This record gives sequence, structure tokens and C-alpha cells, in this order.
Amino acid sequence: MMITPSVLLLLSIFSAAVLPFFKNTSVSKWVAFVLSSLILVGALILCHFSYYGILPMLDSLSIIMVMITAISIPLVILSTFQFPPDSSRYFYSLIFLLEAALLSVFTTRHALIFYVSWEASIIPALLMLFGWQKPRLNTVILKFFLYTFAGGMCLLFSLLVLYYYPAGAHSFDIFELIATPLPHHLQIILFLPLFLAFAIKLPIFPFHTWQPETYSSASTPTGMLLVALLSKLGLYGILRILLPVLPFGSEVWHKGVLVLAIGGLLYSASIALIQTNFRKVLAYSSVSHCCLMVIGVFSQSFQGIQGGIVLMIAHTVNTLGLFYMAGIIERRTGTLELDKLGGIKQRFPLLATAFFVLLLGSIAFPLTNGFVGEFLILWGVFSTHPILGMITGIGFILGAWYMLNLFQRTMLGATTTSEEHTLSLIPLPFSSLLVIVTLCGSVVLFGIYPKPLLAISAPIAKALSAGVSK
Amino acid sequence: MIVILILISTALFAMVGEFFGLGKFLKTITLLLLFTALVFTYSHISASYHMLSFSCVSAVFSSAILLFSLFTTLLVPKDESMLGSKLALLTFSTIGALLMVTYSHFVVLFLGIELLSIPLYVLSAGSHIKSASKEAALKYFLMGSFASTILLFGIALIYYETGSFYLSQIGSFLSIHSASPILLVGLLLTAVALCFKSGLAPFHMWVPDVYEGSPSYYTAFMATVTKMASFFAFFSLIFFCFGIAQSQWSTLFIVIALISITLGNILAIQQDSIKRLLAYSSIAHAGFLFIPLALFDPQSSMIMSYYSLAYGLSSVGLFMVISKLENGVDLPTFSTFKGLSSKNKTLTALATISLLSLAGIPLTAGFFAKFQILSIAYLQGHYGIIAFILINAVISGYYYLKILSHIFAPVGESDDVIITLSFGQKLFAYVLIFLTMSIGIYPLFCL
Repeated sequence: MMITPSVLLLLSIFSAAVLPFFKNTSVSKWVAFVLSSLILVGALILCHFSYYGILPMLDSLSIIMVMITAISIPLVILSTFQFPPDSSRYFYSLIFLLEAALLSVFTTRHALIFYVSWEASIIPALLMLFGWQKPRLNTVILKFFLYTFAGGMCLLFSLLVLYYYPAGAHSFDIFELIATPLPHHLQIILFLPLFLAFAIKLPIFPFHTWQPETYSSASTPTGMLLVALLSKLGLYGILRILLPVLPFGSEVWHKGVLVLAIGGLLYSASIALIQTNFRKVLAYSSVSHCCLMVIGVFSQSFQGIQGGIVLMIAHTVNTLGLFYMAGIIERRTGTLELDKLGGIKQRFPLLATAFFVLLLGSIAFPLTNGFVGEFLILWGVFSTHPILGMITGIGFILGAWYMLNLFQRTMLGATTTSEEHTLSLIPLPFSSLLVIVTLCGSVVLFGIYPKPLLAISAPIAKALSAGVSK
Repeated sequence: MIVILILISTALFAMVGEFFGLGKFLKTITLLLLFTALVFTYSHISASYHMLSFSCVSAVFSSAILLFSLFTTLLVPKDESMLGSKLALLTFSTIGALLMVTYSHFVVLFLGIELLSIPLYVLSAGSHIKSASKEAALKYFLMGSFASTILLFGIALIYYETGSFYLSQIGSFLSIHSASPILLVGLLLTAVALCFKSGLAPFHMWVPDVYEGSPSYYTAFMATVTKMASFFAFFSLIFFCFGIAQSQWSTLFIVIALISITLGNILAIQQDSIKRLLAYSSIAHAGFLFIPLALFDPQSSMIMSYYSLAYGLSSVGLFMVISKLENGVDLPTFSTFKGLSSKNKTLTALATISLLSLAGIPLTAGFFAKFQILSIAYLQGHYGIIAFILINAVISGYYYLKILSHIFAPVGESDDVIITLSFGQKLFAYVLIFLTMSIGIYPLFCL
């Protein structure tokens, strides 16, 4: 059977169309899980063929992104098994629409389709936020939409310029855009809107203000999807379009971006320190990790770019896990305020252990997946800009500080939450355990054996760092 | 010609049908006749009668007008009082709109505008909310007659200089002679009158009041058919008369378009009444629609028809939702939409798709409509316009999303009424959704 990107796309759209017909929640969740696993199998075959050159339809970057998406979606669906959202069939349907939009962004070579799918991914995200938000905070969602929409408009503007600028034949093919060199002054100007578009999506400081509120008002599965997948669109855009198409522009601006990102890293880490809400800490930590990825990617060195990509993969795994943990804790204790939490370890030792593993991954403890990426980023920045590299190191320390602080305040200490929550007595079901074990397992596995990640990200980093140094 | 004859017979039938006991089938038969007219639109693509000229472009425009006339007639409820006369008035209005599309003589233009407007003056008075409706009707009538007077004055001045009412003769006169001040004033006054009718910015004052006061289904008619007809009339006028000295006019028209977009968007943000908001947003959309005209591009006609199709589909969708939600006592505000998502799934889907399309999000028709305007603006080197459109798209995104956020807001205990739709209404809603999505995903389908 031929597996092409469009087959996966059609399969996700088909799933989205079919799911509303399953009115029974217990049926619809299984249908959703089976369909998403089917897409995962398809994606595995496709990526396998592409990677070994049997049927080269995707390059390494697309392979990574497709795999991240295809693996995360079944995990998110599995994580909702215990408490499916209200009218879950529509929710699952929206998840598949989101998957279709993301797969389309990650596999297309056509810049206009890239833009259209990029913006189309807002629609399911928006509906998921509106329909299944927790404390009904419409203004937060409006802010999310306005920011991303403004970013989208910047992207559209830049793509229009890229399309119409070359004299003669116009082309929307991204690879032809890369092959057509642009004059230097245009690269310098065009860098700004294009960077703005991707910076808002990631988000990095100072365009991040929509993010913490949105993530903390979203329901758990929505938050997981937003932070693990939607934010990756920004980095993908930088790697796919910004750096290759505007090599000179990125060289001119890279110091500015580095300063911005390092400032953002320190700023969001400091803000995370003083947060009193579990999810807000995670949200700010996500901002600071996104800044870190940008630091790596703009460090103009092979190691930095490779580290950025590896950290992106690790960040997907870790945030999926951490946001899921936040959801579980909220279910069991009824609150996410740090002052009211404490002593979870005594009642749920398993939960505390899993949380600790994910936390180690997030603070880049050696032998976890986060370490590989962050170490490479630090190496990359240090080799090109030693002073900035040193400041980045401070960010790492702050990161360890707020995460360990979070652990201490929630898991250790006396049990402050009252025992009346009946839910707290129910042990975790098999589905949740499976999600947790998978995520924690990959934290450790890729920490000890990062070779596959390094191997697949090496060609991208090589191409990009060569393009930059030219 | 056949189309107009069919429509005249439709109107006559609707008027007398009630006396013959056909009251029940009145709407159905009217719709069927309108559909027949739509089928015959392409029967003569290039022909010209004394004062009418048919071309490929006018056929596209006429079919768009008939399509939306059909859609808005569908929205009129069956238990409307004096249904027959109202359907007849709508049909007469449609005939006027068709005359405005196919005119080649200024008298036909004037006739078309009057035929379009006079029935609407009457219809806009027929709302449940009497005082607002009366105000709307009076305002619409006064402003409309004022615009007609200006138009007549402009036509008279043009005739004084060129000695002709025919567009083609005026065009050839202008290509030989340089325009005298009197002729310029005449052209300007004609343009002003049409700006008035299309609700463009400095002449937009009547739009919000009339939209708010009229019953929703007639507002839908005004937002789609009237707007399209005046833009298509503008199109012929611009390409015959203004095209010769385009560089002089282009700047003026672009300024009008940009003022409309900005003013419409900024005033829409502050509105609390949904219909006023949509009125201001329609002013902004009129500005967008005016840009391809102002740029004198060969592709303008295609872009305009696509844009008006996209805008019309979403407007009809939204007005359908509003007319279902209205309780007949208060003017619809944001709270009217509150909790729609738990009341009716079909209407929620329709409202969501329509709002996203109006905001110009990809995969809906609205995106491609704006995209085409951006691309011709780019090709002509108007980078300022592009930046302007993009900024305004974000501003407009704000108030459309505000409506959407009310749709998904939770309902209070008091008003958890489930709204039910008949099968036909459901089908119509899905047709609208399907059309908006399909021409958004595959725009070549209708280009």
C-alpha cells in the first residue's frame, strides 16, 4: 500500500468527519484512539520509507514533526480515557481536525498551503478552547486569537513578498524560494515580520503574554495539545522558512534575537519562580524553554541548531507529561493553587515519582532527554558567543530552581488538602498509567540513548549552519 | 431579458396569488420561479437591447444577485403578514438590481436604483419593533431620495457636456476630449450617489440605523443584493467613464476605500447591538470590495464577484441565525447570542463558519477573497494598502471573535430554550456552510 502524506491527511479528515456519529462516549473514545493509532502506524511507515530513502517524500525535519504529531495525538486521546470531556465526540473530532492541519503544515512544500494550514490550525484550537474551557475566560481566548491572527497576517505578508519578488516565474514552492537568493536589504527588512509571526506562535518574550493565561484556562487535553504541538509550529517555521530563505537577514539579526531570547529565558524563569498556580509555573517554564530553543537555533552553530531540534522533541514529551500531571492533580485535589497543595507524595507515591522523572527531564538533568538538547544548545552558544553562553547558563539554574521549588511545594511537606475528595481514592486506571509510563520511559530512554535523535537532526543542522556561515 | 420577464411574472403572481387561495404555496412557487430565472441567466451572454447590454461579466453578476435574492427570500418566514405583497416587493427590488447590473444607459441606471430602493423603503418599515423600524424606514427614504437627487444632478451634468446617456458614447467622448470641470463634477456626483448606495465611508450614515431597524431578513437582502447591485453598477461606470483618466480617480477611490475600512472597523468595535455591528462591518467590507475597483485592475470583476459571494454567504448565514434568535421585542445584542452552542448545533456551526469567513480565516471563503485583493494590490505596488488591509483584518477579527465567544458562553438557568429548525432550514444552513467551505478550500471552482 502506498502511504503518502495526503493519505494521512485524508485519514485524519475522515476520522474527524466520522467521529460525531458515535454518540456513546465509551465507543467514541475507542474509535478515536484506534483511528489515531492507525494514523500513527501510517506515519511510522511513511517516515521509515522516507528516512531510508526507499520512497523519499519527507525530509528529516518533516519526519521529526510528523512523528511528534502522530505520537502525541494518541497519547492525548488516551489521557482522556478516564474522564472524557463533555460531548466528547465533537472534541475528538476537533483533535483530528487539528492533526490534519498540523500534518498538512509539516509535510507541504507549497508556501500558500503552509500558510493556509497554519491558520487553519487555529480553528480547531479556538473551538476546543471555547467549548471546553475551564474558568470561562473569553477575554483570554480573544487575546490568544488576536495574537495568533496578527502573527498569521505577518506571515501572509512575508509570503506574498517572497512569492512576488523574484522577476520572471513566481513560485510558492518553498524549496524554490530557498534556491532564489534575495537581495540583502530585502532580507533584512523581511526578517522582521517573518520572525514576528513565528515568535508569537512559539511564543518567545516579549510576544508571550497570551500564552500563560491561555494554557492555564484551557482544559487539560487542550492545554496538552496547545503546548506540545501548536507551539512547535513556530520553531518549525523558523527552521523551514526563516533560516533557509533569509540566511543573510538571520545573520544580521541573530544577535538581537539571541539577546531577546536570553532576556526572555531569564525573565520567564524569574516569573515562574513567583507564580502561585501549578499550571502557570508550567506555562512560564514552557516560555523559557521556547526561548532556549530559539537561542540554540539562532546560535549560528551546528551544535546549537541540533540542540534546538532535540530540545523541541524533548519539550513535547516533557510538557505533555507535566500538563497531564497538572490535570490529574487538579482532578484529585480540586485545586492547583500551590498554597493549598502539599504532601501529594504520601498519598500518591507513583504520581510523585512520575512527576519527578518528568521534572528532571524538564530541568535537563543528565541522563534525561532534556539534558541532551540543553547541553548542545549551551555548547553551540558558547562556541560562538561565550558571554551570552554564560548568561544562558544562569537560565538553566533558575529553571532547576523553580521546578524543584514546585516539586517541594506540591509533593513534599504535610498534606494540606482535605481528604473529602472521593476521587482521590480511586487509583489511576490503566490508560493513564500507560500514558505516564510511555512519557517517563521516553524521558529516560532518550536521555541514555539519544543517538536516533542526534542522527535524524544532524542533516538539518548541517544544512542550516552551512547556509548561515556562507 | 427572459430573466427580467420571468421576474416580472413572479412579482405579479406573488401579488395576486393570495386572492386565488394560493397563500400556502406562495413562497414555494416564488422560490421556484426565482430559481428558474437563475437558470436562465446565462441564456444570452452577449446581446444588447436598447438600453441594456448583456455580457459574460454581467451574467456572473446577475446570477450572484439572483442567488442571494433566492437565499434571502428563503429566510422570510411563512407566517409573515401580507406575505404575497412582501415577496412581490422583494422581487421588484431584484429586478431593479438586475437593471443596475445590465444598464448601458444612465436612465436605466436611475430606474434600476429607484426600483431597487422604493420597495426596500417599504419593507424596512415592517419590523416588530415599531419605533426603530419607522425611524429606519424614514431615514432610509430620506437619505435614499437625497442620493437619487445627487445622481440625477450628476447625470444631467454629464449629459450637458457629452450630449448622451449611453455609457459607450460617454466613454468615447472622454477618450477624445479632455474632461471639462462640469463633466468632472458630474462624474463625481454620480460616483457619490453610488457610494451612498453601497454604504461607503463618508456617505455611510444611514447604514447602521437602517440595518438595525429593519427586520433581519430584509437586512440580509440589503447587505447582499443591494450592495452587490450598487458595486456592479459602479463597476460598469468606472470601466466606461473613469477608466480613461484612471490615475486621477484611483487615489480618490483608494482613500474612500481605506476610510471605509478603518471607520467601519473602529466603530464596529464599540457596538453592543449585533445588527449595528454588522452594519459597520458591512461598511468595512464595502471598503474592501472597493479596492479592486479603485485599482482599475483587469481582474477586478472576478475578484469582486468572488468577494461579494464570500461576503454574501456569510452575511446571509449570520442574518439567518439572528432572525432565529430574535424574540421580536428587543434589538439583538451580544447577549442574544449567549449560549447558542448549547441551544442548537446547526446554528452554532453556521454562525461559527460565517464569522470565521467574515474575519478572513483560511479554509473559508473570506480568506481567499481578501487574499486576491492583497495580491492585486501587491502586483500594482501598493504596499501601504497591504499593510493597511492586514492590520484591519486583525482589528475586525476582534469583534467577530467577540460574537463567537458569546456563542460559546454558558447559558443561565432561565433561558435554556432549545431552538428547533425545520428540515428545510437545516438543509439551507448546511448548504451555506458547504458553499462557504468549498469555495474557500477550492476557490478555482468559482473563478
